[in-house]
Formats: sequence, C-alpha cells, structure tokens
Amino acid sequence: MTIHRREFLGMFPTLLGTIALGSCTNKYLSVYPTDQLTDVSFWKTENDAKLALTGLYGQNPTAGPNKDQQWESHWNILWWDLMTDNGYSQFPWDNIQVMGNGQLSAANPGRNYYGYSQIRKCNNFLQKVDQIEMDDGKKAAYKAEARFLRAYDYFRKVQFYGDVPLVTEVIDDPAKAQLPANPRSDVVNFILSELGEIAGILPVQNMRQSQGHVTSGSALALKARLELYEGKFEDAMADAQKVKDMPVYDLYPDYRGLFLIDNEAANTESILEVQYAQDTYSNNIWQHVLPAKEGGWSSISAVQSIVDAYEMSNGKTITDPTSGYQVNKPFDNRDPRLQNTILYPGLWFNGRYFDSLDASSPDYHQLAAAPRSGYNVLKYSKVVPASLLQNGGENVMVIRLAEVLLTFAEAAVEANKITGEVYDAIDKVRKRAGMPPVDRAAYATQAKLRELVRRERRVELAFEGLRYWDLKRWDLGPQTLDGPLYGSREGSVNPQTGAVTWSQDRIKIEDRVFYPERKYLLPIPQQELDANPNVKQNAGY
Amino acid sequence: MKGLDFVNNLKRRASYGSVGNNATGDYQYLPKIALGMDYPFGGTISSGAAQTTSSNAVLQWEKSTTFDVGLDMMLFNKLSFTADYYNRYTDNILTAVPVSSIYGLPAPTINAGAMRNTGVELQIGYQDQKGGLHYNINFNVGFNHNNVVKYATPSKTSRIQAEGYPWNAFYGYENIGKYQTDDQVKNAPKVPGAPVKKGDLMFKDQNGDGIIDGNDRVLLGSDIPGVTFGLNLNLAYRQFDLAVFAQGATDVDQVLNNEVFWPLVNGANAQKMALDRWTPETPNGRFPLTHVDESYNYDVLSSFQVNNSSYIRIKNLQLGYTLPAAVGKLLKTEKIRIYFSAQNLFTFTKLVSGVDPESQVDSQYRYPNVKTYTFGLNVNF
Repeated sequence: MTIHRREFLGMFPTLLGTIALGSCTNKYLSVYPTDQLTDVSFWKTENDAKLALTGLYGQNPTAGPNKDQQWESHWNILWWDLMTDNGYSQFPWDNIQVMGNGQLSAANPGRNYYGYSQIRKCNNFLQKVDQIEMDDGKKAAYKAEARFLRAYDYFRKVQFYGDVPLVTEVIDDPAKAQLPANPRSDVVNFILSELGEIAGILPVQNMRQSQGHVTSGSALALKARLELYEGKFEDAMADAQKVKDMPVYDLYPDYRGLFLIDNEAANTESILEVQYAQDTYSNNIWQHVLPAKEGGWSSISAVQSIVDAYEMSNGKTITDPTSGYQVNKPFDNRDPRLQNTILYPGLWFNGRYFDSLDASSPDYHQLAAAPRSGYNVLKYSKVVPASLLQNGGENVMVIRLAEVLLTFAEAAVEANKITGEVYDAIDKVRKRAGMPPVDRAAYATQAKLRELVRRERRVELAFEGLRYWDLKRWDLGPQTLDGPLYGSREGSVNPQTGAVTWSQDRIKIEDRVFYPERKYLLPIPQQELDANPNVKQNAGY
Repeated sequence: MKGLDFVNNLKRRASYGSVGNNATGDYQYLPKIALGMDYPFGGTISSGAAQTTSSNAVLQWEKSTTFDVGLDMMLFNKLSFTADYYNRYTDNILTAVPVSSIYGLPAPTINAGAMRNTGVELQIGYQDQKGGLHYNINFNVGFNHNNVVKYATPSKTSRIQAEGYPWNAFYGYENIGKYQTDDQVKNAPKVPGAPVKKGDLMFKDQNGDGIIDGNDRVLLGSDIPGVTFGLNLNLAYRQFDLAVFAQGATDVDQVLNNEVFWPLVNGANAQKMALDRWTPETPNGRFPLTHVDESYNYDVLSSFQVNNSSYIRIKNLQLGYTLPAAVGKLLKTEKIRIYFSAQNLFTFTKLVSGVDPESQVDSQYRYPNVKTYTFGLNVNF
C-alpha cells in the first residue's frame, strides 16, 4: 500500500489526537470539581485546620437530632444506663433494649460502636495538619484535641469490645483494613499514654472557658476513669487528685439545677461535655425524657432497683430497720436526689401530681408514650413548648467534677488508702446534694466504705451513662443484670394531695438474661465478620 | 425454495455488541472533603469539614457484552416462530462492595466483578380464520439464568452478592420446622442471644458446630424470575371481538416486608393468615409462636419468609360488540362499538392473599396493581 503525501498529512491530526489521548489522560481527562473541596486542595490554611478540627467534634446537623455520628452524644450518655439495673428502654428501635435483656447477637447487635470513621478522621487530621503553616502553639493544641478525640473513641471500643484493632494511621486501601484485633492491654496503654501526653499540652480550663473544646482536665479525668476501670488505683488517685486541684472546677451548688439549660453559663463543674445549640445544632432530649402529658415519649424509664438505692435523708439505707423508711410512703424523707432525678407517682410536677398508675391518666404506664416502669427520668428534662421538644440546645456532661471526686474515693478505697481526704471527697458530693456527711464510724472499714462509694456513685451519676461500666468492673452482672426487671407498684394517686394508695402488685417490665461468658462485651456486628475474616467474634455470641 | 413453499419466511440472526455504563456519582475517583460537619462551640455554630465518602482513583466503566443468535420463521402464512439464545456478560460491575468498618469510610464504588445472564426466548404465534371466526394466538416464554462469575468481596446481608450466586439473591437461614418439645429448646443448636421458646422457628445448623450463626446462612431464592411468559389472544366473530392478554412468571420468590408478613410487629396490625399459628394446641400451625415485640425469628431472614411468588395474571381482557352497519347508518355514524374491558381481572398465585406478585420486594405495603373494569362506547362518524 502506498500513501500519497496529501493523504498522509490528512491523517496526521487524527493520529496526533490518538497519541494525546493515550499518553496525557491525567492532564486532559481528569477533571477536578470546581464546587467541592478535595483532600488534595484542602489542608492549606489555618482556617482549613480549624474546619477539620471542628469536623472531628461534629457531624452534619441536618442528619437529625440524635447526633449519633459526632464524637459523643446525649443519645449514648442518657441511654447507656438503660441496659443496667438503673433503667429500661421501651422502644426496640432505640437499639438499647436488647443490650439490656441479653437478646443481642451479631445479627441484632444493638448500638454499634465498632465503626472507625472517627478514628480515621483523627488519623487523617494528624497526618495532614503538619502541611499547614500556622502558629506552632495553636497547631500543637489542635493536634492534642484530635488525639484526645481518638483516645476517647478507643476508650469506648475497649469498654464495649475488649480487643480491637489499634489503627493510628490512615488506611488507604480498603483491602488493608482487614486487620486482626490488638490485645485490649495494648489499646489501653495507648489511650493512657496519649492522655498523659496531651494533658500537658492542652490548657487548664473549664468547659465555659474552653467553650466545649477538650482541655487538660478532660484528658486527666478520662485517664483517671480508665485507670480506675483497669484497676490501676494509685494512678487513678494521682490523676483524679490533679483534676481536683485544678482551680477552674467547682461543684455547682444545686443538683437539679446542674442539669438545666438555664444554668449552663454558671456550670463550672463540667469537665467534658457535648455541645448543642438551639436551631443550629439541636438535640431531642426533651422529646425523649419528658412525660407523655408534656408531649414527651418517656423513652427513658427508671426502674425500682435504682429507686431503692437512694438513702433516707438521714443517711441510712432503706433496708436499715432504724432508717424510718415506710413501705407505703416510700418517697418520704429520701435523699433529695431521688426527687431530683426520678419522676415517681405522686410527685408534684408541672402543676399536677404525677400519675403513671391510673388507666385514665395520660401518663398511665401501659400507654405508648408513658414510662413502662411508672417512673420517668428528670435529669436534663425541662417543660418546654412542643416546638422545642426536638430543638433543644442544652449541653450534656460526659465527665463532671463529682465523678472525679468519687473516682478518687473509690480508687483510694480499693488501694486501701483510706484517709480523711477520701471522706472529704464523698462528703463534698453529698453536701451539695443536701445529704448529711458520711457517718465515719458506720463506714470505717474498707468493705463498708466500698459499699458506700459504690452506692454514692450510682445515685449521684444515675442516667449519666456510667453504670454499665461500673457493674462490669465490680463484676455484679449476675446479681444485677439477670432475672425479672421491676417498676413501680401499682396503685392510685390522689389528684388533690398526691398521696398514693399502693396495691401489692408490682409492674414487671421484662425478663433479662445475663451471660457471664460474654464478659460484658458486645457482639461484633455480622457485617464486620463478613467483611473482615481476621476479626474474631467475642465469646458468648 | 423448491419443495419448501410452505416456508414463507426463514431468517437466521446473530449479533454481538458491547455497551458501557457509568451510572455512578461524579468525581468518585477523588477524596472529597464535605463541608457542613459543624459543631456549636460555646453555643455558636462553627463550620466543620471532613472526608465522609471514599474515593477510588482507578474507577472504570462497567461493560456489558451480549452475544445473541436467533431464528425467525413463518410457515403456511399462519404459524410464526421466533427463537433467541443470548449470553450477556457484564464485567467491571460498578458497585460498592462491603469493606471492614476498620477502613473508616463507607465502601468506595469499585469495579467489583462480573456476572453472566444466559437464556432462551421463544415465541410462537398462530393466526387463521374459519367460518367467520378470525383469531390469532401468540405465546412467548423466556428462560433466564443469572450467575455472578466473580466478585471482589462478597456482601452477605439478607441479600447476597457473591461468586456462584444469582445477583442479589435472598440469603439466610434454612427453616426446619419449629421447636416442639422442651428437649429441642434445650438441646437443639443454640442461637446466641435469642431465648428461643417452643413454637419458635428452628434453623438448620449447616456446618454442624452446634451454634446457629452467620456461617449457617444459605441461598434461599431470588426475585429474578427464572421463567417469564405471556399469552395474547385475539378473536373476532361477526359483530363480536375478544382480546385477552395474560402474563406470568415462575421460579421466582419474594420476601414479604416484616409488617406485611409478621403479625403485630412494631405496633402493626395482624393479617388473618397469622391466626394459623403455633400454639400448644395447634403445633402444626403455619406461623410460629406470635411475639408482640420483635423477636429473633422476625429479625433474621429465613426460608420461612421466602415465598414462592410464581403467578399467572389475566392482565387485560376486552370484549366488544359492534352494532350492525345498518344501525350505524340509521344514526349517521360509520361505526358504533360497545365494549367491556378489565385490567388485572384474575391472578393465580400461591403468594399471601392481598400481596401483589408483581410488586417490588419490600414494598408490598404500597398500592398493588389495581383491578379496573371499564365499559365503553366507540362512535366513529
């Protein structure tokens, strides 16, 4: 075949075009979006660092008022006690009920904390932020915040799953994500060493001063909590002591008021908290906690066991024959925290005597939006117009000074270093609540004081998400998480006086089964087992 | 063709071709940073940003290659016949395969694997007239076989995408009756976390390890029909005309939505069929023990919920009568025809009463195809 010159030249542009397409694909065919940021164009300015740091705390506010995709949420803090002998979650779709009654499985795992999206975001932040030229001190603080949030996520994972993969760098290839678990001790050591380091970088501030950013106190308080959980009692004492000594924290004088949005600006007790804002970044706490008559759903019920745990106002337990407890006036002369935490039949509330016992009452315990046990929970609740039920702006405390004081006390009791300082710490918490100081004669031994500290922790911190981990380290599952779960006794409430006439029948809520072989851990969800052949299911599932 | 005069038409066909499909979101090859990941420090909203979707730098088009051979035939000017064999190979399927949550981002879209659809389609028609009766009848049937040839990481929820299975097939436990005795409740393979009672569904321990868990799931069926068919009939006799169109499918299953199938789930109502249930007095009832709360039986997919949704449906029937021409002339019209027509007149299926076999899986609570009767009058001037 011969090609004439003219024909050959005519073909030339076509050939050239073909070569260009073949060799310069990236340059001509890869289009970068002009309306969106990419990981390549991001990470340039200090503002980018700020945006990314905020992205570690938050989520898209339009994704609903549960806010369960952010670093922590009211959706956890207020719900976690419902898988214990403190409470009950009546709606199966809240995914907590099965965690309480033992019916959870890989196919139906309840709440899932196995996701690594927060870990990845933090790892990516820590890898990329160094590209940005900005003030070194600020950058170091930002990085410390990212490390805290990563440590916090690992803290939850260790609590709920035991051994988990410890990932501290971004995994680029999904195929390389099929990692086996690290022993939990590795993860615990990582968390503790991270928290120890960043406590020296972050500022000593309370939550008002830091406006919700994590602080040095947050890191030390979480460290003390984990050390207590791990049986490192001397370390827990030392770290709790450091937080106690920080001049920025004080117990808020009014226990009930501590949980009200109106007093937030004066709350210097909070050490770590989740931030919310009405209209722009709201939560749905009021919708969930308020009784039916106030438009709430009563998603969170208290149960009989916690009601019985509150002491009498004289400091004696209701089982003590000299306490003055009256079976048919069970709420008289009790620890004031009872009526500040639990809405029980006959309690004056929002212009009426609360009645969850009469079938004609809107709060009757068998109705859909009424508390299944007969008891609503009052923490964080506030009567609001319907428009605000799912548009609440109240912050939720994750760690507060009272917990640190009780952590100090428990660690000291377990280390058997019982000094006056230990009693003082407990007394501080009791005094604020309106309770007499500890009877030092009656609670002189390690065993007696242990009993008191545990009770104090239960009632002071009820419905703040700690009870399950408390029962776990005390290994009280067989005694507390097994068998029938009871609510209030049946009866009738006098609408004029609030006096309750009790019947002998008690509300039975459900039967729970505790499986000791599970060691208080959750099942790895089935989808994870399917996607990662190297992960092993926890025992008992 | 000599000696073959009765053959009016005979055509062999063969075709081969490829088409691409890029039906997935834009810029999936880039790690995008999403704004709007906000947080209200001190009650004032601050803007935040984070990567929330994953990217795949080597994403390609999905490609379908189809090979088809066919035969068209017409005999005696009355009998028509068409046959096709096809083999469609779809490669580089664009989909998100599951990744370990340790990855920290949702699964990226990748070119995950390949599947093959092979099948045969046949059509036979006959038309004739005899003593004023004009009629034609047409029957078609298609057989399809779908199989995933390769797949990067199998996805095994209640639908499976994995090598060797039909695409998106139903996947779960094999139901082998109900717990009938205390001994079975105590000694049958354990379902972790589920306190089974007498009357609950019993599942087969496929791997025999004494525990019923995710490893005991098997293929339960598919909502891609193996066989589809249709029938068209047209008759005309003097002033009357009749047209019937029927269609159907077999070798096909449906999983009924929880609220449709299980009684009383999440406060929903119960259907009458739920009365036929296990009680100590009726151990052979169709349904297991009724639970008012969700139970393990209701939560997981088992063969009990996989229902054969084969059906035949008279989709359309029309009966008409054209008035004699003399009457038409009297009324100064060309033609007057009155007719009755019905859509979805009869359905023959073993599927649960009230559920449309043509409905999409998991949307059976939506409006089904409705039955319609129409009386009409056509007047041509």
